[in-house]
Amino acid sequence: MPTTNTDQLVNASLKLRRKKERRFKMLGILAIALALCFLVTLMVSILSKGIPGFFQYYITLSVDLDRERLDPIGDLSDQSLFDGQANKIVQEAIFLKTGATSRNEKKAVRKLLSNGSDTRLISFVKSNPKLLDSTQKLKFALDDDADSYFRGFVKKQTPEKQRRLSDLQIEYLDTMNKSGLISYQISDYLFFGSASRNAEMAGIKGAAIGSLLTLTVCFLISFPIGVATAVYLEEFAPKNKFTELIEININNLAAVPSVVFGILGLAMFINLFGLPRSIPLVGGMVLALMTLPTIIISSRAAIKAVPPSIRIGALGVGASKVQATMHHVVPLAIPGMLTGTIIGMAQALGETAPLLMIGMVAFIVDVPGSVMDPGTVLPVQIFMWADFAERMFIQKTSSAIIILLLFLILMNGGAIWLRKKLERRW
Amino acid sequence: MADLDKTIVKCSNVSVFYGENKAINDISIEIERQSITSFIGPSGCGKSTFLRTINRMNDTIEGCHIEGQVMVDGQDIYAPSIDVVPLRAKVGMVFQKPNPFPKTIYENVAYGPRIHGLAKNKSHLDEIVEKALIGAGLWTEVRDRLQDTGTGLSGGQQQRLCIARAIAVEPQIILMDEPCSSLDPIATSKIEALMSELSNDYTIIIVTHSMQQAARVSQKTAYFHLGNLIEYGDTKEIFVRPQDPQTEAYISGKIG
Repeated sequence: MPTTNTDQLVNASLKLRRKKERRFKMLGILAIALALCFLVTLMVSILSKGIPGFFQYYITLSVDLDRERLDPIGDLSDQSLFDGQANKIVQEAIFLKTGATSRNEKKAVRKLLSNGSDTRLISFVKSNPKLLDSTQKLKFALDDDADSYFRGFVKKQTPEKQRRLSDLQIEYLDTMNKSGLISYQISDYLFFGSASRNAEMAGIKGAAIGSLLTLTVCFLISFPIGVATAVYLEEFAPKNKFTELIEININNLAAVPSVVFGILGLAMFINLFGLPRSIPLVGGMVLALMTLPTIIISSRAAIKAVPPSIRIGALGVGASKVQATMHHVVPLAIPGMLTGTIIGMAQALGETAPLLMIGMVAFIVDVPGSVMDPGTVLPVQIFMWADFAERMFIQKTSSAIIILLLFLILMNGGAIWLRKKLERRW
Repeated sequence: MADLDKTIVKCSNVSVFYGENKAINDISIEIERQSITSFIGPSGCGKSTFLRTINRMNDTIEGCHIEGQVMVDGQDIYAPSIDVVPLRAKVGMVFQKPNPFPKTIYENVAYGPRIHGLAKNKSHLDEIVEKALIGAGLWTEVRDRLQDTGTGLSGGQQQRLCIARAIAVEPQIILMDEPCSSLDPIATSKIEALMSELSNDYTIIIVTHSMQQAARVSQKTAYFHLGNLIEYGDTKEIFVRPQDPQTEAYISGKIG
């Protein structure tokens, strides 16, 4: 029988308890608010720099596609087009528009145009050979300094000596802009260009394909081995000192810094096996080493989560151990295994350090065609661009980060979707 | 040989150990064909452990080993040459908690016949599934939704589905480990009625906590206590005139 005294004591303690609860709640909200603040700052910073990086300035020029000059041999072969005068033709077109005549003027104007303009003209001719011997309005990228001028990074007020554009060049740019020759549009170089020292031509295509090849290799190696290891350790391995040791080692490997795997890859795959440097095959293998512990641990957790009653049910009707595992346990564990794998892959997609160790940081212009061609990957490309001084590279870096983040969101979204789709209740 | 034919399970001096721990102490028992035998006793008395020695389900438990001899249908099931797969096809099992596979009702029943290669073709498999579901008294309830998942059924239906799954491979013996402990009285009475029917074709050994259930369904009853078989005989005798004072104490509710 509670006395009034107990009631009073309980009531008095209630006040204190509620106060504590409120404080705890406040701290939680504060922590989340702080985290959100950081996230918003990060997103605003990346998006504000990165979104302009998706666009760049182009100049529209009327180009005279003279067959004789562009294609001297006449078979539209690479050699013939290369021997032709594409570069000269583009330059003549811009001289015409600006009215540059003297040597100095021509030199100033020439520098406003991207170095890749002749290649751009050649690839246009290659895909539209019917248009030869006509005059076409084509768009060419501006040089990154000219691009920066329109973005307001190069200012007229700055003394001429201290900026990368001369007064003459700025005058030309202003006139061309007034006559509507300059357009600001989605950058095709960013998506379809490869590594380049010229900021206006640099793109992520090579790195994106390198990432794809590397991740494919990584998946093909780590998923089967990881799942098989997990299934064996969880369902078949005897529980003894040796398997315990293996288990501890796998758990520890998951915490090993990724750069260590890079050194291991360098020593094993490149120095010992003699594989070439910088290739996605080696990159994928190194990332597979790194991803394996993650996949094994999450797969084991997924297998453990399958209720024992399912195994016993299968064994009870006379299934062998392998049948019970393959027919019942593994299918039920697959969603969890896939989720773990995709998260491991997302981690691998964003990994830079181990790939630096095996030379995937090399400056490679060609898009890798196979896992044996030298290449680089998105995060390494970002790392390299972040190192360049040109203003435009800062934007391209942010743009590439946005693209990388989009891939990561896609992969994580895929993991959630897969789990929801495959998950079964029992 | 008539005697051998009547006895389907013959255990001689069986002891079961979990590591160092002796869970079953030197039990000898003979179980009759096509009858229902119930194992009763307080919790932890080893009746479930002993039940699982009959289809070697204890093999799945780490550190468990057995001494003595268990003969099923004249065969020593712990002989080195014995494969547990055909043994478990011959000695089916229904568990305490209904554990249908998270697959369709059809797949649940078809799984056993499929892995043992019992069906000649698809229509034969359909027949086997239908027969098993009829045998488990579930056919009329699920005939229109064989492609629904088995886990969507009610608890009692799930347990009958598990019985259907067990009888689909036409075992000789069905072991039931407290099959009604998670079911309500109505579902329980359905399962009990089903057991009586099944005992025309199968030998049923049931572990139960409910003495009333043992009295209702079984012809023979064995009373276990602390790993020992205290008393074994006709159910009527055991419940009316228990020979051992321990049995009497348990049945009359003094211990347990």
